Amino acid sequence: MTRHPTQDDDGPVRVLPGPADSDSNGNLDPRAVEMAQIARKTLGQMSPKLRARGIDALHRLVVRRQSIRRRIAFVTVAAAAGVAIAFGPRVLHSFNQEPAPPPLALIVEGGAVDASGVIRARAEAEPPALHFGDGTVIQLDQGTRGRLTTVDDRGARVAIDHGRARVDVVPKPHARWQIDAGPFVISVHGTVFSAEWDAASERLEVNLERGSVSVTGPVTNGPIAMRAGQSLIVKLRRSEVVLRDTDEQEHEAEAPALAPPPVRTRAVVASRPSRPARQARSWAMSLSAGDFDSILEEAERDIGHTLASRGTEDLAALADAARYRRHDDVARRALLAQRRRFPASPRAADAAFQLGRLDEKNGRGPAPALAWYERYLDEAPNGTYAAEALGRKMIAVEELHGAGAARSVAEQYVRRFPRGSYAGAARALRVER
Amino acid sequence: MPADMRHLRMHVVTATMEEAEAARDLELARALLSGEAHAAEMAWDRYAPLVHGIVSRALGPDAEVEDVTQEIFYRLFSRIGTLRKPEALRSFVISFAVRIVKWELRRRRARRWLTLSETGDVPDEQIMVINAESRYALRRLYALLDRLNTRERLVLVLRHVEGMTLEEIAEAMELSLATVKRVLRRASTRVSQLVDAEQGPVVKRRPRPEAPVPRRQP
Repeated sequence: MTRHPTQDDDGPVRVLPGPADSDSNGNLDPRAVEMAQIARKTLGQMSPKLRARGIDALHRLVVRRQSIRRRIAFVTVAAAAGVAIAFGPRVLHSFNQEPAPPPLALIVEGGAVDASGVIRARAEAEPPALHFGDGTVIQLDQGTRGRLTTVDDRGARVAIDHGRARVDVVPKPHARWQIDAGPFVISVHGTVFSAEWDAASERLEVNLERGSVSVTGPVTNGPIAMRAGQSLIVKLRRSEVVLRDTDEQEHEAEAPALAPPPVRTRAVVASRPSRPARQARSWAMSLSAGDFDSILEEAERDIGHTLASRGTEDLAALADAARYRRHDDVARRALLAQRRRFPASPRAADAAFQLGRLDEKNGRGPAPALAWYERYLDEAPNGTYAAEALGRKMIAVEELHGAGAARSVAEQYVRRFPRGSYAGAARALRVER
Repeated sequence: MPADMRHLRMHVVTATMEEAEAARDLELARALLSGEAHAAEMAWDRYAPLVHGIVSRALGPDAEVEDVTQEIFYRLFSRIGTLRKPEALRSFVISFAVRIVKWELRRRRARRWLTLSETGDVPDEQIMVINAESRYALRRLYALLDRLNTRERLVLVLRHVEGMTLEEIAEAMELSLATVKRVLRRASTRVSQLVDAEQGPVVKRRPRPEAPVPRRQP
C-alpha cells in the first residue's frame, strides 16, 4: 500500500491511503482522490486569529446558553417547587467562571497561621483565636494543635489535631464551615459548640450549646445529628458512641448530693421538653440519652415477642442500640423485622442501608451488601443515606466486578454528590485505567 | 547511519512523541473531569484545529464552520462526564465532532440547504483565498458529495479527505469495521461513477503560455 504522511493540524502525523489499496480505499476514482487531496490541503486550516476568535465566541455561547438554562430552570422550579435543577457540568461553569470572590478576612488574635496552615500561638499562655470577616470566631484552648485547612468566601475548614476548640459560627445562607477533629468531621451551620479531640486516647467530645451540627467519622455509622444542649462522646478504641443531653450529665453529677436541678441560663433549656423519668422513657429517648444497655436488656428478655410486637420507632431504636453495642445479630433481626412489618416506610428503606453496612462489617462479602444498597437507593433515592449508599455501592461494585464496572457508579456519585465523602475515590476511579 | 538504525531511531522518537501526547491527553482529560478552571481553554487550544478541520472538510467551505465547531465544544464540555477512558480523549473529541457534523448534515439535507447556495454553487466569497483551479475542484467534489447520503459522505470524507484509518472511522462513527468498509466501497463506487459521468479534468488548467522557440544560432 502506498502511503504518504500528512500533517494538517496539531495532531500527530497521519497517513493517507494510496490509490492502490482497494480494500481500505474503496476503489475511488483517481480523479476523485485528487479532488479530495485538494480539499484536504485547502480546507480546515485554522489560523491563530481564528482560534482566538473562536474561544471568545465559545465563551459568549456558554454565557448565552447558561442564561437561558437558568431562566428555564427558574420557571420549572416555580412550577414544581422542590424539584432540583442541574445547571450543567462543572467544566462549563469553570469555563465561564467569574473571578472567584475573595475569601473571608481573617485575623489571628494571639498567634499566626504559617505557610502550611498550622495555627501557632504567640505565647504559650495566650491561646490563639481565629476571627473571620463574617464574625465567626474559632478559639483554640491552650496547648491545642490546630490547622487552618481552607478558607473561602463561604467559610473555612479547621482541623484540630489534638486539643479543644470553641467554635462560634455566625449563621449565614450557603455558609460552609467544617471542623476536623481527628478522624471526625463536624459540619456546622450557625452554631456554638466546643470540640475536643484527644489524640492519645482517641476520644472525641462535642458539646453543642446552640444550633445544630452533624458529626461523621469512624464508628458513627453515618452522620450523627446533634441538637442544642446535647453532648457527644465517641471512644474510638472501645467503639463507643454516647449521645446525651447535657443537663442529664449535670443532673447525674449532682445527684449524690441531692441538689436541686441546676438553673440553666440559656433559653435553650426552656425550649426543650422536660425530661421524663428514666423508667418511663421510650426506647428512642433512651437511645438519644445513650442508654443502649437498657434497651438491649429489655429487648433480649423475649426477643421474638419484641420483634413481633414493638412499633417501628422502637425497632429502629433497638437496631441502633444493638449496632452501637455490637450486638449485630440483634441489630440484623430488628432491621429485618422493620422491613417485614413496616414495608414501604422510610424506616424500612433506612433498614436496607443498615443491613448493607452490617453485611459489610460482618464479612459477608460485598455481594449481599450491594443488593441492600441498591434496594435502598431504589426505595429512597434521595434518602438520608443516599450519598453513603451510592458510595458504598461504588466500592462494592469495584470489589465484585472491577474498576471498569464501577466507573458508571463513580460518575453518578460525582454528579450527585460532588463534595461527598466518596467524591475523591469516585474521581480517582473515573480516571483509572 | 545504516537504514535500519535510522528506522529504529525514528520508531523510538515516534513512540516517545506518542507517549507524550497520550500523557498530555490524560492530564487534560483529568482536568476536564474535575472541572479545573482552565481545562476548557486548554481543550479548545489543543483540539480546536482538529475539530475545525473535520467540520470544514465534512461540510465543505461554509461560513457556519465556526458555529458548528463551537457547538461541538459546547456539547463536549456538557457531556465530558461521559468520557469513560481519559486516555482516549482524542477519540472522544473526534467521535463527538463526527456525531454533530452528522446531525448538521442531516439538518441541512432536511432543509435542502446542503453546502451549496441556492444556485447549487459553493459561495465564491468563502473560498476567495483559494485559487481558481482548486475552487473548481472543490465545487465539483462537494457537489458530488451532496449526492451521497450522510453516512456515505462522512465515511468518504473521513477516509479520503481527513485521512483517518478505517479503525478510527469505525470508532468515531460507532460502526463496525465491516460496515465502514462496505459503506466506503459503496460511496467510492458511487462517486467514481459520477466522476465518470461528468467527464472532464479534476481542475481546469489554465493554458500555459507557450515556451518561446529558441532561436537557432546561426
